[in-house]
Amino acid sequence: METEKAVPDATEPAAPSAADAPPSEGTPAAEGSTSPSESALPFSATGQPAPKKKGKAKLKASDKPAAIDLKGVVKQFGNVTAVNDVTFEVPDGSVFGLIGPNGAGKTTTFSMLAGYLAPTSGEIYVLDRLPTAVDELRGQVGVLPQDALLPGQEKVGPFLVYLAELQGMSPGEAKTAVESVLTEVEGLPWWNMRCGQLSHGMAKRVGLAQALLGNPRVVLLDEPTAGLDPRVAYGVRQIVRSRKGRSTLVISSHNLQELEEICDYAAILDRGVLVAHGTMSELTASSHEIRIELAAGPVPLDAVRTVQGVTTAGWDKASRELSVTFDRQQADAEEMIRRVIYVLYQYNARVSGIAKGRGLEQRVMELTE
Amino acid sequence: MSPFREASLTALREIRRNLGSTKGIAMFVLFVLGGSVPSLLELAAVKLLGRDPTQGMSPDDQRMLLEQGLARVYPEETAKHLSYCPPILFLLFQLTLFFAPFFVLLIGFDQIAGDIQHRAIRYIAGRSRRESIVVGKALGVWAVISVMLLVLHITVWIVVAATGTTTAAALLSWGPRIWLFSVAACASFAGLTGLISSFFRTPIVALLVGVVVFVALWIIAKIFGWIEATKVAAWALPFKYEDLVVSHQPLRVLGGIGAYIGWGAVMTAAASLVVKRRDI
Repeated sequence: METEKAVPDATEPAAPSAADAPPSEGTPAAEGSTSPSESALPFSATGQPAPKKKGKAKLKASDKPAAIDLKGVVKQFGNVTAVNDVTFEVPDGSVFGLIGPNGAGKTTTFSMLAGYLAPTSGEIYVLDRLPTAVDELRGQVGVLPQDALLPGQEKVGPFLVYLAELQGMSPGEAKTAVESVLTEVEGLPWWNMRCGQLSHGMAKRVGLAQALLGNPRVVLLDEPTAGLDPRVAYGVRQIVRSRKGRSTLVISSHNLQELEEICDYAAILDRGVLVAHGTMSELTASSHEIRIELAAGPVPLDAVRTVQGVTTAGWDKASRELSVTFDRQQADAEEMIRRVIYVLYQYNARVSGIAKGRGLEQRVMELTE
Repeated sequence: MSPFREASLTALREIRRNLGSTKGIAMFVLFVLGGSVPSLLELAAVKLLGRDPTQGMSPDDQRMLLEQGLARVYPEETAKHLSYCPPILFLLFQLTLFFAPFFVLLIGFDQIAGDIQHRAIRYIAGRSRRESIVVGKALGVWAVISVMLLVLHITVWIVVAATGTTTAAALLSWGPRIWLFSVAACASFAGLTGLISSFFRTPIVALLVGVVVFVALWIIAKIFGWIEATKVAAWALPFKYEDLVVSHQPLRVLGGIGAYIGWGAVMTAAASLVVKRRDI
């Protein structure tokens, strides 16, 4: 993004000082328990993205206990290092996104969390157990693998009943549980269909149903909406949302808009390295940055800089976007929007749009190559 | 949940899956047709010779003739013991021993490789110990082949009973025994098939390698058996255990059955180790 300093128009009125800013409703407490300086995000003091620094990112402290804990995890396939020294925690009860471009190591990390792949080095704990401790984790972890085919010759109902029985349910309990999850994914009529006869969307929903069998404490979903039409994808997202609070959900996906909507926390991987992680508001900078799109007309950048709490203000001529970072100890995003808009109003600036933070997509684009 | 419960659930699923699949049905038909092979061979021999070679001979003379023939291959006591077995059933046993490895391979070559190729194993691996999956699959394949062998053998029993070439007592005495020996032998091959399948991600590769391995082991076993210095080594392979199960001594028979099953168990244990250690 080309960022340049905007020079106030000669016709602009004198900039109101910070004292002229509208009365504040008080300084709300900052979001989260971590100050920006403590954030795991690679930001410079100016609020602009710091030069990319690949390496182990420091985990943001969370009040919640970790449902999943990765410590210095490395996975090599021959000479290729797919995941390199990744460390993060997934807070219990959260919805956690695993983000990154193709080849970033998402699916490899995901597969290690599920116990499909063994890490070359490092430690992984799911509910304080090794992911391969099947007996201890029985019924507590549900997984939707990305590219695992359902057995084509088997019927949906009996196959899911078999999986439920492996989770320790009696045949009766298993049948009830399978009916319940198939109902949840609107797949009960497929009970007697062979898995090989299912369309991609139906198979994905059956896959989701098996992951949700028995209400597991941790649900790992790898690309749950990939390849689905918008209606089915929406349905899947609704199901995932309905699980929020009931389970710890880890979602690996390319669909950043979807993750931004659903997730509380996320980790961004690039080329096997963790480049950022934290709460979604930290990742999108929505707790300390606002972006205001202005239509043609005055751009009172200097006036905005004088607003109480503003740390930096930049102007992108190409996108006509004013980006403002602020000290979130002094004001939250909503308060800062109010103050800045007040100033813009005074300078007759014409506002086209307002957003908190940069959006996950933009953040990922900045952080990954 | 105990590993036994996990393995039994997987075994039951494998049985359902195999018997309900196109491949399972095709194999089932093949076995039923195969059941008539010994009978057809007998009829063909009669037709070729223009007469029944045993025509005009008393049952005792027929038995003596058979005993002399068997004595060329087996020890005297064993040959005498086997001479009481209806020839068609003994022929069936020999054919089963020869073809069983390939039948087992055809049924089970994709049991693990197929699941790994399409990653269907991932749906199970989070719910069951990998060792239990392998054991359950091996048991499932063994059970399926046992059922198919039973169908094959019953077909022969019916043909034999219908043609009246043997007595009902001999049929009832030897028929189930021969089936049991065949089933025991298949345990070894089910285990070996599982081990071969566990090494590969592509089922067709597992099948081809399986054919090569089975033929190679059969040749090695024969070579070991011919050379005096290596005869002991032949006991390392299941082909040799036939000598035990056809014995007239019950303990040796039990030992032979145990050896077949034990060899299969060792192979299955090795397959479990492979699957446990590999990425899926």
